[in-house]
Amino acid sequence: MINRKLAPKFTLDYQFEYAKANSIELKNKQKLYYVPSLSQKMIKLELVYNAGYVNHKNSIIPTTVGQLLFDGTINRNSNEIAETIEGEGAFYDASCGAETFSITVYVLKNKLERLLHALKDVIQNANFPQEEIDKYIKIQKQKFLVNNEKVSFLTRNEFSEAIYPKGSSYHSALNEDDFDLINREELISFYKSFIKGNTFRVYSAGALDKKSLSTIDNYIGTLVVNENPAQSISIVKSADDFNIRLINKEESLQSGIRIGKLLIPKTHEDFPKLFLLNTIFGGYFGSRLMTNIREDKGYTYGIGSGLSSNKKESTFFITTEVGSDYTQATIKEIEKEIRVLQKQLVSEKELDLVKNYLFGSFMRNFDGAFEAIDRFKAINELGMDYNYYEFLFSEIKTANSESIRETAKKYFNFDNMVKVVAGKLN
Amino acid sequence: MIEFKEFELSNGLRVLLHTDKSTPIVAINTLYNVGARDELEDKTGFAHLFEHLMFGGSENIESFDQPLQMVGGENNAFTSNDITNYYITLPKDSIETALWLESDRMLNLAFSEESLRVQKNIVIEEFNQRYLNQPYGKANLELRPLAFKTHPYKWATIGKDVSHIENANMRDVKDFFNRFYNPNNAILSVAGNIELEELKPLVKKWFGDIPKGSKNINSYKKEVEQLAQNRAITYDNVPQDSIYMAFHMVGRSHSDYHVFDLLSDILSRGSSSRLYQNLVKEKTIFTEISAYVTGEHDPGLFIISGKVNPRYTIDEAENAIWEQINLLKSETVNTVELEKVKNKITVSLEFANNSVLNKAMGLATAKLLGDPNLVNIELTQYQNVLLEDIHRITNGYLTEENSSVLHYLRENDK
Repeated sequence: MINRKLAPKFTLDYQFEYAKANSIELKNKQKLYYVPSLSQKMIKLELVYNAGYVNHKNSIIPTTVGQLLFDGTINRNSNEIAETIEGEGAFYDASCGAETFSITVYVLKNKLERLLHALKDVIQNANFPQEEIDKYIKIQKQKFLVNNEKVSFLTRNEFSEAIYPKGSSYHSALNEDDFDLINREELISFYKSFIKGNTFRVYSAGALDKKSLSTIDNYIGTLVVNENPAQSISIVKSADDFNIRLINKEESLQSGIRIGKLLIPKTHEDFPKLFLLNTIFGGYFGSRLMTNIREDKGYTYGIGSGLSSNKKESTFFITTEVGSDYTQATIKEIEKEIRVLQKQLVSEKELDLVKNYLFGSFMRNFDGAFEAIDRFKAINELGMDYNYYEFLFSEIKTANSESIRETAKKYFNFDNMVKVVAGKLN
Repeated sequence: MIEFKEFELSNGLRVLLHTDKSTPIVAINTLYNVGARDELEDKTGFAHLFEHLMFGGSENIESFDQPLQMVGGENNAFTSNDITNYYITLPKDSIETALWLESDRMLNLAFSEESLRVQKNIVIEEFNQRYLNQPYGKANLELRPLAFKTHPYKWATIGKDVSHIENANMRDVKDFFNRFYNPNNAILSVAGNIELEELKPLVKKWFGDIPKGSKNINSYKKEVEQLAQNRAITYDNVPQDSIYMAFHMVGRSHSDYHVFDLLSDILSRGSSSRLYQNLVKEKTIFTEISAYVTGEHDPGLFIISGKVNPRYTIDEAENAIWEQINLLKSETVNTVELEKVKNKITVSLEFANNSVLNKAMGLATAKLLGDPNLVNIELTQYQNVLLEDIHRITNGYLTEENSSVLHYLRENDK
């Protein structure tokens, strides 16, 4: 008979191999970073520009440039572009974040050339037809109204407004009126200043044999590139009101809750410890928040915390939707869990568990060419290299209970966190 | 090509393995042949509630999650109308921990009253978060009983009503476990960095002594043929009207299943699709529109749904969809449209098969459907679809008498 009460022996090796990105210079001097995987039939290609909504006083302009980039060039209308690209079975997307603008395609290797032909036209000749803009605004206004019925959206949007208030470069919270600010001249002006003719990086993975690489060079490497305007991230305003900001929705069965603050960026030497602390607190299924507020109290289907990084800082946030009657109780428990981490030492057993869990998750997150190129992009975009991951792994390995408690004291100050509730404050 | 090997234990547990030495990870997928379709009509949502209870500790192991996290693993589960599916990914050297945990909860659960009480709360919050507290969240709950009259697909996996979850008791839980959570009612599928010689003894060691139990013979009522259109109107606090049109279609194992799937892509996948181009971009009657198959193992639904531009009435919107359907019937879809969606499916399948977890899941489901090799012929099944097939199913199934139409309207239109 086997003893089922006894866990099988295991060895978890913190050392693991992962694929690193290669790089080549394209004809136009732009860098192509890539992770080949020749057993694939597919290629992912992503162009990243130094163009974010920090580059415009109204974030709606850059984000709309992303949404409408594929909706017309001087040679093709919106439908023709979609027909051409989708006809090859490819998937495409353009999106504008805070600091970068990204154009992504997924395509079968044997369809690469035709896709790149169309993509090059889009990047060089986008013309944002008025008709497309008008339709887009109408649809977005309706979507906004639907989103406004979701407590998850309301809390996220209000939290964003609080963290990056109007007037700061990173402001991106939406109002219904914002859609009326969209106009063709500003879209074209943003596109011409920050995308067309600008420098970029390419991140690629998949079926990248010699021929595919040279095909990419023939199209992407021949995009005209001029000098870039400097990216200025000038105005930073910070939140100063730490009372609960309530969006009242009396009839709502659940309340959305979002609590957090600006913290150090990924490039800061304390970041690995903060990352580990966040994992213990709310970053995985067995976290303190999940164990207490979901598994013990049953207030919610899920609760978690995270860190999302910009170049200069990261936003730490706790997010959940709870039964309306548990709103106050949940906020109290969140505060309690923070205080516990600041006062009591994490046990050896819990710390080991989280470290092991994290190394397992690193192995998963670095597994495969498509994952590997994303991991490289994440550090390269912040001006870091693979040493960062070595530093991250070694910091996590060596972290102890004292350093976790110190990190909690240093960074988790509940009193100056922004607190948003959409729903009922019961 | 996903190569696989299979074997069966004497207690009836079916095991599949796909070896991939290029990854440091192993995925372990355990599928139980039980879903919402196996529930009683006055105890709906039970299969899904039960899935939550499977994480509340087993006979010999207090916590499922903690020992798994300790060895670098991660896990989750989902319940559908047809199956309940548990999955784990972890570093290859930790595989035995996963088999130890998964086998102990197949052997017997801890059945704690406290766990039942808390998980009922969590599931009720899930019900709220995903359905009741979402705009248009009740659509799926109302469309199913409109379209299905006898088959248990008439309720959603989450359940018909919150009270069914509130009323679940420990006796129901134990009965359910004994009836369905048996090795001969399960399929264990493993994909990743492990060879058969290594896996087989481990599976035998941990699963071999679990006694055989009853096997689910899926003895629920089949759907009666629909002879006339079903219609319903519902009002809710939503910013715009929307419409849901459901048509009975074929089951997962039917040769026409892939035809329906491609038809839904022709109608709404991507910016160049028919409904998006004609009804959103050109005529602007809808602000969003989509067509999709619900994907059940027994005959499920082909659904077209859309949110109506407030400048149009719900009737104008419905007529516009019928017009598009009639167009499909009279003038055939062209070769370019069909090639396009086939190319897109090729890319999607290629992408999905990158992950060992997807491969393990795919093999398990295919085995339940009768042949694990279905994962390898799927692409060919899509490639073989002809224009005539599209034309044939459009004429045969997208008809008024086969339809169920739900108008989901703004409260202030009342």
